[in-house]
This record gives sequence, structure tokens and C-alpha cells, in this order.
Amino acid sequence: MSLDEKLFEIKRKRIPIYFILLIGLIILAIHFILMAYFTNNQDYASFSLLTLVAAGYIGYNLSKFLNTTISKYTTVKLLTCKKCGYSNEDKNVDKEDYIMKENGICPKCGGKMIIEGIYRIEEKTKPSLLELFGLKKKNKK
Amino acid sequence: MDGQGIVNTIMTLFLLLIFAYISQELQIWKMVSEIEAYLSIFRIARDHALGVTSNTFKKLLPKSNSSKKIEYEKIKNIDERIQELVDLTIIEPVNLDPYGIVKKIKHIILVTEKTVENEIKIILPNIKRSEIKNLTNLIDATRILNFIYKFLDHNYRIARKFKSLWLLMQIYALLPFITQEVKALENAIEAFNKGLPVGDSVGPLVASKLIKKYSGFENIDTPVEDTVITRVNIDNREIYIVKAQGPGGTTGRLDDAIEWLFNNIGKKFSMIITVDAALKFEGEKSGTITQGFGVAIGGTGVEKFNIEEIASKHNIPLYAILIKMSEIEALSILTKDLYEATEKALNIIERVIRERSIEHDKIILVGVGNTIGIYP
Repeated sequence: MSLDEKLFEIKRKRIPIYFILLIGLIILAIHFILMAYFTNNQDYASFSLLTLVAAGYIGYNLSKFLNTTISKYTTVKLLTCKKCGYSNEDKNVDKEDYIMKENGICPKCGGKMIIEGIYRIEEKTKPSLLELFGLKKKNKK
Repeated sequence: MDGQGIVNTIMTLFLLLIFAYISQELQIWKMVSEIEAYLSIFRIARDHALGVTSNTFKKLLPKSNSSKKIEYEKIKNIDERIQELVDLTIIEPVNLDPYGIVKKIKHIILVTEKTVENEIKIILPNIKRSEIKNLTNLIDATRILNFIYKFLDHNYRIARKFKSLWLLMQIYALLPFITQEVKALENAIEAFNKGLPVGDSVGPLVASKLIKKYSGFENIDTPVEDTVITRVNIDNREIYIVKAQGPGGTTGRLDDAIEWLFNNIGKKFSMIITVDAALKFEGEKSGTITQGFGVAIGGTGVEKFNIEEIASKHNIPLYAILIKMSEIEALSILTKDLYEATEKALNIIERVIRERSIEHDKIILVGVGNTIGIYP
């Protein structure tokens, strides 16, 4: 688990608290608005405004968190044929592999293939709502 | 003002004071909880690094038919030896009189490097040199992670002990930078463990590509330890390509290699070009290439100093080709963007050689960086 994922896991635990707080504040705000409307008391209007500001702040933080993306990386080696120049990316990177190592035979001309490069490709994933609320475990590749 | 008015004023002031106190306490609580969360993450990262290092050593242990008890003792002994290597302290030389300090720093670095390598050889006598180099890198990364955690934990404990808001604020302010460094080192652990090229390897990668393109890996000499020199011909110019010897993880002894060239090939070089990774600013795109003047070498500054000395003594222009990347990318497995940038860097180098020199000139090109996962 990368550091980003660990940070995400720590923050993820706060989501239900944020969610319950948000719902509570919205209910409270509705209550104060109705009270202000029916009693014509200015205090209720002030309270409703305060609760709405708090709900807005929590809602903004929650929406920011729900839009979090996590980067996943796949390491590939770029194989190139010494003879015909054919190249392809291979996901099977061994511990013994290194750049400029001869690695296999070209499927097109039968020439020797060389590892021209080893690099990682980034893939950004957005966790689903179920994953965020801890109701579904993440797919581990 | 009557009695009631005075009481009201005092009450208001008292309430203000209470609010100010509560606000500060809340601020401290927020900082403490965040610092504690990050500290626990850094501890996990340190423990993970230690675990990876220990497992890598155990996997490389030669198989034996000895009893379970002896095997257990061996493994326990390895864990203790690794802990010793991780806790190693490198003491900088005194700088009250800075004259000659570079030599002293180089001496200490070389002694440390040799000792760690010998220790690894004693623990694992049958492994390849490239594996020793990778394990040295792994231990170095673990050592830094260990130091960061211990240092931060020490400062945090002091701040809590003396309830110092200012100390806490300093730690809190530094957290983003420390996190960046820990992230980079955590990624480095993966790369060093697998022996794969990292972002910092772009310099040696460019050098390797040039060697492949112009000489096909022929005439590779190793006159200096951990460093290779190859002579190639580009547009009728003699180019001496210097890089660390791969595919093990090492940065080589580039200054010694250049000194060897001056002593054995001659003093008339028309330029020295260094290719290296450079830290980008947040707004910059990774893989951007910039040109510069001077020696592009990071680290302790010893090699940079020595190359600058040689170049200024013989009045040789110093050109630098820099491939920009973030700190995290520099220590993580090479990204596709950076890999593609090496192709562009290659074209720029060829252009610089063509435009800034004439035929039959002798040029030194240095691929600076860790050559892990890159041959030769």
C-alpha cells in the first residue's frame, strides 16, 4: 500500500462522521428556518444561517474528498527488435531485467529483442461510493 | 458607568479571553492530531522499508541443510546486522577551517560505501556485484526513512513535553515537504528492491542510448571503479562517454573518471557536457528539458567541485542538459514521460555537439545519476 493509499485510508474513516454531521446540520437548519418562519423570531433566523454555513463547509470538504483519485502504476518493459525495429510493451518485468538486456526473439523476423526501456504507466482510479463508505473492499490486482 | 456596566464589561473581556484560549487549544489539537497521523504513516513506511530490506536479504541467503535452530539464529543475526546498517551514522568533517574539506568528505563517503558493501558481502557472500549495489541503495533509503521518522518523532515529543505551540507550528509547516520526501523514498524502496531504473537514472540512460547508437557496446573500459568510459564518434568528433557502471545501483566515480581521461587521453577537450535529472517547479511539466552552464551533479557536491576544478584549470566550457522532474519522480520507477524525454535529450546533445564544436574535437559527455537497471 502506497503512502497516498494509507493517507486515503486514514481520511476515509472520517467520511461517515462527516456524512452524519452534514445530515444533522441540514435537519437543524431546516428546523431553525421553520421556527423562524412560524414564530417570526430573529434569533432562529440567525441560528439557521450559522448552521447553513457549517453545513456548507462540511459539504464542501466531503465533495472534495469524494472526488479524490488514486494513482495506480503498471511497470512495463519496451522490447525492440535489433533487426527490424519492431517494438512492443511487455508487462512481465522480472527482477533480473535491465535496460539494454537481450530478451527473447522477435515474433515478426526472429531477430534478437532488446529491452529498450523500463518504465511505469500511471492509471488514475476514482473509488466508488461503496468503497468510500467501507461497504466494498478494493479490487486488488 | 454603574456597577452593572462594569460587571458586563469584565464578563465580555473574560469571554473574549476564554474564546481566544479555546481557539488556540483547538488549533493545537488540530495540529497535534495531524502530526500524529503523519508520524504513524512515516513509522509504517519505515517499518515497511525495514521489512522489505530484511526479506530481500533473507531471500538471497544461500540454502543450507543445517537444523531449524541454526537457521533461526542466522535469520535473527541478519535482522540485527540490518538494523546496525540502518542505524549507521555518517559524521561530517569539521568545517571550522573549510580548506581541504572536500577531500575529507570524499574520504568519509568512500569509507562508508566500502564498509557497507563489505558488510553485505559478509552477510551474503555469494551474490553478484550488481546485487550488492542494489542492496546498498536499499539500505541507504531505509536509513533515511528511519532518520526522518526518528527526527520528527523527537521534535514532536519535545514540542508536546514543553507544550510549545511554535515548535508544533514548525513541524506542521514542514509536513508537506517531509511527506514528499517520504513518498519519494517509499517509491525508491520498490525500485531498488526490484533493481529497476528510477527517474534519477535519466542521465545514465541517455549515455547508454548514445553508446548503443554509436558504438553498439564495444570498447567499454572500466578504468575507475564503478564507472565506464566509452569512446564514440559523432560527426567526426571524438566523444568520451562517462557513466556509472550498471545495471547495479550506483552513481559511479565520475570525477575520478574525468581525471583519468585528462591524465591518459590528453588535456585538450573542447567541452564537458553533463546530463542529469533536475528538480522541477510545481508548475512545470515533467520531462521538460532545459540547457544550462556548469556541472549538473547533485549530492554532496564533491564530484561537482572536482569536475569544476579540472574544467576551470584547463579552461574547458561546461554545458549541462537537465531533464526536469519532481522529487518523487526522481526516486520512483522511471515514468513514460521521462523515458520519452531521454529521446529528446539525445537529439539536443547531438545538436549541441554539432553546433558548439568543430570536427576532430574531443568532448566529454557525462551521464549523471544512479544507473540502477541500466547497462553498461
